Amino acid sequence: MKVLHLDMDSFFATVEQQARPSLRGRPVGIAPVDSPGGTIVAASIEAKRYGVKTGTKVAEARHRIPEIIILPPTPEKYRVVHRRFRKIMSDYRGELKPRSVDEIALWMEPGGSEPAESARAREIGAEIKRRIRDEVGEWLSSSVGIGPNWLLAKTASNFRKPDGLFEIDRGNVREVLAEISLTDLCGIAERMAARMQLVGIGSPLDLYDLPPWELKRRLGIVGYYWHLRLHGYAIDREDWGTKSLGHSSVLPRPTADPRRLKPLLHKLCHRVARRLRREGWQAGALTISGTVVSGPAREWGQWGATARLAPTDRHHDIFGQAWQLLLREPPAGPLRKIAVKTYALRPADHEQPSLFDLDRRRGALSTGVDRANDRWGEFTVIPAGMLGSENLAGDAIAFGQDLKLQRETAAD
Amino acid sequence: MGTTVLNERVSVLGKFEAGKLLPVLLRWRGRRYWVQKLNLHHERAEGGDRLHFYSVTTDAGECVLRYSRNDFSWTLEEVGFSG
Ligand SMILES: [Mg+2]
Repeated sequence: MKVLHLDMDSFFATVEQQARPSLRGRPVGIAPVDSPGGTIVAASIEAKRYGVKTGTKVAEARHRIPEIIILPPTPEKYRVVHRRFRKIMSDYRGELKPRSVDEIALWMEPGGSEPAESARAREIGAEIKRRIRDEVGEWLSSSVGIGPNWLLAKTASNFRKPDGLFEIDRGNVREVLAEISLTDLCGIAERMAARMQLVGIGSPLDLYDLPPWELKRRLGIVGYYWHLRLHGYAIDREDWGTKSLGHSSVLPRPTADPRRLKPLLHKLCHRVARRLRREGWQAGALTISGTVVSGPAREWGQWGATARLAPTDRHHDIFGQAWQLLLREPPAGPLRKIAVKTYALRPADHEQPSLFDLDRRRGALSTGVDRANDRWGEFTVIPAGMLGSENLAGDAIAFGQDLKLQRETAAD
Repeated sequence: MGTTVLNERVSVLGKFEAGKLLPVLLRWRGRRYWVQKLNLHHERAEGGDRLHFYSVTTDAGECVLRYSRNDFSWTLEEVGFSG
């Protein structure tokens, strides 16, 4: 999976230089109000060399660069250029999302080995950069970043600016993270950086290198999420893409009672996990949703809740999160239909930071269970909590958390 | 920066290329200027009109031409001098 993030360099100023060649190579600042107290909203590459940047006051800019040219912004120009580079990017397969007027990300269609995906992303990145110059304007320089998720792609686009083309991959991620500061990571503002520094995390490299459990201890779940992001996991909504895998079921008698929903939820999660393993995916996010029957007119409504997962293909993880969600964000009325859907799918062969050693044992057990189910039919061996849905599943042998197979009669 | 705002009516010889109108030659104050390069084209809706702006380089320097879809008129918005 590769994400390609394109960021136009010094966008407003560069577009003005495109429209007026006599401005090229000169320091230009775009300011809505050309008075000493006015603020520069964009500075050209030439102006940036003298320390003038977004947020610099016009007076300060003039002091640093007496010959700086201050121009008012012309949004129509920026919009037309945006439309045209977006059009170019839409020629490539994948999912396109504009992030701002001068930034567009492309979640490339997965395919082939990691090196093949990487080579293709670099080729396409170079081609897009060239086509923007050829087809939109020769002065329009852009920087392309490539990464396994959006955060790293964006970080890569900032790493070699202007006119950059840079990929962050497993081989160089530590070098890159060693060179940047916490606030260079999109999503870490001053306050979060201060909080991290307080617990001894001074650089992005610390977030990368510290073991996940240690980050969780120091920063809570946020720390763990940062670890996953920097390790290339697709844990953020924008990375989830359109591919999903799920199962749904209609309830014979609508209910809002979690205890009655539990066996069904177990069954759905079991099926989802099984399909993930069969198709070789791990899921990074999950939603549970359903149709709610409510009111005297028994109207139908929709209910849903979403959560992230540490990439997994195990029933234990998927059910655990789904159950938490159901308890935390229960439906407003009796459910008529319930669905479990997983997103952010990535190939399961990717190396996984294991929070607990137990994970691996559970993994081995799951595939053993799959084999038993393959041989004896679905739901021969199911987790204990699924008992109660046996009217849908037939006879069942269940195993509990202690990993011992045991025969049980109908529970609940 | 040598830019002068003019807003003067001018006559322009244009061409249609791939469904787009492009200025080729303009006559201003009795002189002719050839458009050598279109640097940027953008549009803006204004009232009921649609205005097209052509930032071009002519053989005498840069200028911005405005075309009104309402009355098919051309206006020389501003001229700049490279230097
Ligand atoms: Mg930019």
